[in-house]
Amino acid sequence: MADEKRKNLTAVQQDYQAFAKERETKRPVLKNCIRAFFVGGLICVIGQAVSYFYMYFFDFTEQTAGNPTVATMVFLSMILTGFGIYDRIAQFAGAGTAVPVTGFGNAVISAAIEHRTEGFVLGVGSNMFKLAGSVILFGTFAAFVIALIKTIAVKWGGLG
Amino acid sequence: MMKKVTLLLVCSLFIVGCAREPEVKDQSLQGKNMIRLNTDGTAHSATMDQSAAQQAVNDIKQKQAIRDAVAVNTKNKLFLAYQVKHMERFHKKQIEKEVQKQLKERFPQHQVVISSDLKLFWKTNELKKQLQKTRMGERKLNEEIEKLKKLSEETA
Repeated sequence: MADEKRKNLTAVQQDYQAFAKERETKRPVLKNCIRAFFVGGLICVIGQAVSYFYMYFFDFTEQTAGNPTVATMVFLSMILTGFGIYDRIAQFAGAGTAVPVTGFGNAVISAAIEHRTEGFVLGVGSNMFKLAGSVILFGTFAAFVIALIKTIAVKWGGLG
Repeated sequence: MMKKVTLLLVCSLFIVGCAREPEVKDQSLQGKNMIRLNTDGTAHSATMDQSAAQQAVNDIKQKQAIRDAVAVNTKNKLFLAYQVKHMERFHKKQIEKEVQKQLKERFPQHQVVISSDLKLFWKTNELKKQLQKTRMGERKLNEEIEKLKKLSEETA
C-alpha cells in the first residue's frame, strides 16, 4: 500500500520524503521494549501480590482468586488515572502499562475525564467506552472464536 | 507531591501484601517456609492415625515434578495437597492424573482427594498442625476434609 502510494508521487515529493526520513527522530524501539518489559512485569508482580493477599486472608483458591485480583487491579489503575499518576507511568513505560488489565481501567477513566465537559449523559456516558468498547467487543469475539475452535477440536479432532 | 503519593501507594501495597500474623508467621509469603515444610509433612496425633497420610506424602515426594506435599487422613478419607515445581506447571494435568492413580492404587480403601492448589496446601498444612496440637475427633476431621474438598472443587 505504502509502496504503491510512493510510486504515484512526483520526483520532488519523493526527494522530500527521503529528506524528511533522514531527519526524523528515530524511535528507540529497544529502549521502549525494555521499559515496557520491566514496568509491565512490576505491574504483574503487584497483581501476584494482590492475588496472594486474597488467597491468604480470604477463602479464595489459586483458581478463584483471579476475579477479585482483576477487579482490584482495574480499580487501582482507575484511581491512579484519576490522580494523573498512571498517565505519567504510561508516558515512561508505553505498552507495559497498556497491555496488562490495568490499561483497561486507564482507558475507561481517561475517556470519561476527557469528555466530562460535555455533560454526564452525552459526554461521560456515551464516551466512557470509546476505547474500552473495542476491547470488550473484540475480547468477547476472540473468546467466542477460540471456544469454537476448541469445541471443534475436542468433539471431532479428539483433542483434550 | 506526586512522588510522595506514588511512593505511599506502592509502599502500602507491599506492606499489605506481606502482612503476617504471629501465629501463622511460619507461613509468611516472603519466607521459604511457605513452600518448604521442615516437618516430614504429616501429623503424629494420638487420636487419629496419620500413617496413611505419612505414607502418601513419602510416596508423592519421591516424584521428580513434586516440590512438596502435605496430607491428612481419616479412616476412609485421604486428602493430599502438593506443589508442582515451577516449570512442571505446564504438565499440571498430567501430574494430577498420575498422582491420583498412584494414590488410588496404594490406598484402595480410602477415598482419595488431591489438589495442587497453593491455598489448599496452606489449609491442609494448617489442619495438620492443628491435629498435632489438639485432639480432634474423627467426625470433626472428616468435616474439615470435606470442607477442603469443597474448596478444591470451586472454579469460579
